[in-house]
Amino acid sequence: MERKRLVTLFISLMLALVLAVMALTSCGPSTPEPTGPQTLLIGNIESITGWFSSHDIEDASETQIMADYINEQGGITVGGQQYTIKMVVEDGQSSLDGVTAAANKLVFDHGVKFTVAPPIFFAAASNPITNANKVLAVLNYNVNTPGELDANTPYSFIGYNGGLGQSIAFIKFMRQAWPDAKKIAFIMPDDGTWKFLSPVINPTLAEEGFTMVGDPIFYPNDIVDFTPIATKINAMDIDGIIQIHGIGVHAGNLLKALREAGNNKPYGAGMCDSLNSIKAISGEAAFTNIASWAITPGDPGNPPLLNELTKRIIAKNGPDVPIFGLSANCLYILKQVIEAANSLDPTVVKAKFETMDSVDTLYGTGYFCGEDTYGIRHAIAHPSPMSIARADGVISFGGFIPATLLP
Amino acid sequence: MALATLTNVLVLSAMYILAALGFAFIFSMLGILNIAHGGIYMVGGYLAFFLITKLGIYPWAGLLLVGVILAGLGVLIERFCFRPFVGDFNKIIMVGVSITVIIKTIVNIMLGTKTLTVTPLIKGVIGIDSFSVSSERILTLIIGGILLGIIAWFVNRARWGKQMQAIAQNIDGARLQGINVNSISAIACALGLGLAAIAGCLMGMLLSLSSSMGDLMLIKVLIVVILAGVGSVSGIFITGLVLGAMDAVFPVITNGIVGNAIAVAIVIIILLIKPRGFFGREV
Repeated sequence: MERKRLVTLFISLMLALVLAVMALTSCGPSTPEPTGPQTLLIGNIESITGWFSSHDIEDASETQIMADYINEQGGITVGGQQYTIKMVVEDGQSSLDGVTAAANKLVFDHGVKFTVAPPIFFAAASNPITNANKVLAVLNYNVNTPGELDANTPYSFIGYNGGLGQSIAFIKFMRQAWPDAKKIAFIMPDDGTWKFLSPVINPTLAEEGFTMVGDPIFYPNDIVDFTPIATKINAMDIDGIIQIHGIGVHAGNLLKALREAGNNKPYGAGMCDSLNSIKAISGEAAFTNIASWAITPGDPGNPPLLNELTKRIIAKNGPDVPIFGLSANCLYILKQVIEAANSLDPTVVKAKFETMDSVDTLYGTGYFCGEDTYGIRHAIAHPSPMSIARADGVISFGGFIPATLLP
Repeated sequence: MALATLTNVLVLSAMYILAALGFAFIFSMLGILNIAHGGIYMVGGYLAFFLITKLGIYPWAGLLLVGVILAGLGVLIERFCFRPFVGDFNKIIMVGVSITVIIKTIVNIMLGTKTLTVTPLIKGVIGIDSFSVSSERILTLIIGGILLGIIAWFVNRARWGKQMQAIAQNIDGARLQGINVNSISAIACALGLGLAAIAGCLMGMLLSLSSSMGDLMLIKVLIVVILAGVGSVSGIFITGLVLGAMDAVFPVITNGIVGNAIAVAIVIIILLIKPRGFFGREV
């Protein structure tokens, strides 16, 4: 009994001592606030899992590399205070449900005020959350579906040409690259966006002298075996194939299926996956007569920042990695607008966005546009890089197609 | 177009049948719905990439190694993951899901989630008049056909195969006849997972690898096995051909995801008419 009382007393005394030490160390004279850089959290919704992960894992990596570059240059400066960017990535799981969950985590758990990504076809899930909470989002790929950007999304902006602008530029490039091609098979994923894109794409095809043979050919996003699609295309009397949207695995597998079936016609893979990454899937033997709206890393025709970014991406991720330049571009634009607004208040930054005419992008000068198309001038149009490989399979820089401003 | 489509039908059917046979062995012998089957199919492809493309092992040797390694894994899975839970449906499902998640995570950590391709067994294209097909596709068809022939012989003629059939028909009766159920179950599992792995390897050479390829194949396998009916191994040859035909033909004659929907609708109609599948027995 006596021993038990002694032990209890000892423990109580130790506890009291610890509490006293904690109290003493938390008091005392206040020290001045450190004046070094502070941290600015920027959210990034990327599908690290699911069918879109082959795209978004690389996109997330590129965005981090861009953030590191910006931080090396001094980060973001607002009101004389430097801010180091810290990217907070949440998994969108390649689904609307996943993107909703990711947006909720970023806004409510992490308390971010700015986000980059996801592509607009996923932003239908994140827009209601970010806009309701006045979180400014710079989204990376528009497909012209209703509601993706309008008066109900005042805090959403597009930081990349997207499906519409890139498709227009790509069709123009295809005409330059293969002037003799007239009849084309038109192919794209069955993602439901054709009815919204066709009012723009069909006239552009006609303007450039292309005739679509039959109806567009659609394929499911999760398809891997493109042999039936290649069989269908081979039965058509065409001079070439133009595809918009899709991901590198689609293009690589379709290219392989086409060439194995004896079809050597020009194939315009209208997507931002680099030709190197498409070649890694199709194999060298099948890699002929293909173009994409991709970056050609290291080409002297690229803006210096683009070459610097791609150099870092290749150093980190290898030479065959696809390079997209989507969310990285969005981050770069966001950084400039925050500094121009000289504020970290999303509402102030939003207002600045809306008064600016242009901004520097990875691809050259980008112009804000889209008032008639979206009802708000929150889209951007910038030059589009093109990449091409002819019959010899050697990848070369296709130049930049000037920005096509959306009305 | 007809020749090309026929080739596609045969290649797809062969792969579906190979993968489904493996699933059916385990289902018939052990009564286990092996949800991890798609994961093993995926691992087969990725293991082939690691052995053949990364380590530079001769492709034919790599193919054989993939089958042997994953057959060995099948023995371990049967002993430690399936046998303790035979008869407990819920636990078996959880075990299957767990194995799939673990496998996917290991593959993603080791090889990333980038789409990969496996060095093919043979390169080149065979052209006859206007018809052109890759040599790899023809070889896959030949390998698939040979394997299926061996399996058919094994199930119907070999002692172990007949014992597997006996267990599938009546496990207690088989035990009373002196059949070592545990050993035969281990062999069935090894065979089943080995076949799935080889199918994954061959498809990885033909197409490309992705971490979700197993999920898609699991759905196809379930359709083939359910359409064939419980306990029917030979029926899988028929239903595999049916599904391969639908998957090869519908994308040509329809557009987009409509083809997938039609194929699934046909499956549902068949099951409404024949709930036990084409060749199933009463359970």
